[in-house]
Amino acid sequence: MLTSCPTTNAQHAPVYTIGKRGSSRDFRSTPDQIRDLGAIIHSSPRGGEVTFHGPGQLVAYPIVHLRDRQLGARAYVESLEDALIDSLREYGIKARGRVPGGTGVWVGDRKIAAVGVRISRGVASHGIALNVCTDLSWFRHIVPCGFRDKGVTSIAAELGQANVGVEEAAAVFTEALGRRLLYGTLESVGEAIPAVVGAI
Amino acid sequence: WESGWKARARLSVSLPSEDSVLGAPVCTRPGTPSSTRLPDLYSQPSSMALRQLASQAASGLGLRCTAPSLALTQSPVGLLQAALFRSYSTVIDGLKYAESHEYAKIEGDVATLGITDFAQSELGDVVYVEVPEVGASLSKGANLGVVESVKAASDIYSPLSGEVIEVNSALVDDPAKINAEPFEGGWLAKIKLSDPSEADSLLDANAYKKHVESQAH
Repeated sequence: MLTSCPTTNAQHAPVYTIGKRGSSRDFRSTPDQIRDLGAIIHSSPRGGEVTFHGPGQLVAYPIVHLRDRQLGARAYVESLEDALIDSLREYGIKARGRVPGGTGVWVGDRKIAAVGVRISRGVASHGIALNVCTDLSWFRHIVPCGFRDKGVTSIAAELGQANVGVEEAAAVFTEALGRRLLYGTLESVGEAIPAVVGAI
Repeated sequence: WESGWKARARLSVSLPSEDSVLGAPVCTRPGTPSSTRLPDLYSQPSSMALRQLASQAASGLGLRCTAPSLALTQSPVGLLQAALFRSYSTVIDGLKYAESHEYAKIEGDVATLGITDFAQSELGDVVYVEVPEVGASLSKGANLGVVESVKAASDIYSPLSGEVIEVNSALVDDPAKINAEPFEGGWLAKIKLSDPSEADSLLDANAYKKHVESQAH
């Protein structure tokens, strides 16, 4: 019997966070320039490199006991990506995850949501950052998540409209993640693997 | 590789029949060679023969089974290949294991520590590893380091207490060794045991195999 897991939805004041693999090479501007813009820089024990959090972006922190749910690291991260994709579909945006070496959610080759997870004693923390109506110019000062050649985007940018609310996106994402985690250990046998299944 | 992983998961969900050769999800590499005489395939019902063949061959060959897709034929060899590749995690006899998927290879009063094949496949491609300092004193259950994959950064815990005498610095330049050889070149640290009797409370290969099997994915 799966119990609910706590999750916190937040918007942050402008901050650049450096994950375990991040370094000063991931910044295109100096720390002083960044401070002048009104942002701070903070190290975080999550996976990944450098990213930005700020107004207009939904940052969600689900705390999930993976061991209890018999979820592996990869399956959990895929659930997060899938929940984001489900949420974006509600906005009419077609997105994809499961990009090898490119954890997170993409619209074309523009990154719309970042995923960075830490697992400690069987419990997953940190989480996701979804650009709802983020001012994307903040990303110019870094190499987001280490991707030098890729762009970033937001729901507002994809829809070409400014009035998309973070709170509404939070509600949509929380519900989508709840559905994904509740049924996370049941895999729908959708696509057949003809050669193997057929032989038995 | 990823789609192959999914294929195996789906397969075990959709075909749970006990008579099928999908029985054991874990193949072993035993320390001592077992008999590799093959059963007579043609005098037994084919599914039973295949199950025997699969388990004997798997233990004899010690395969780490990772192939995602196979062009299967109806021949015994083709079905045998399918059965072998349905196993997905190696467990080595003679090692000790923690439920959190670390292993200890104990030789005298020195233990080589790392994460198991199951753990590395759960994490995905490893891109970064943090190991302890030489000279650090670790107690059983204490943080041994961090293994970060493209998906997540995961804390690793020491299954035994002791002093770190060597760390695997090759992992700095080649963290993927953890995926390729979790039990060999992908070791994390060696410790001098402060209390060798702690090993008694760890799982042996069979118990760990059962533990892995119970993590239904």
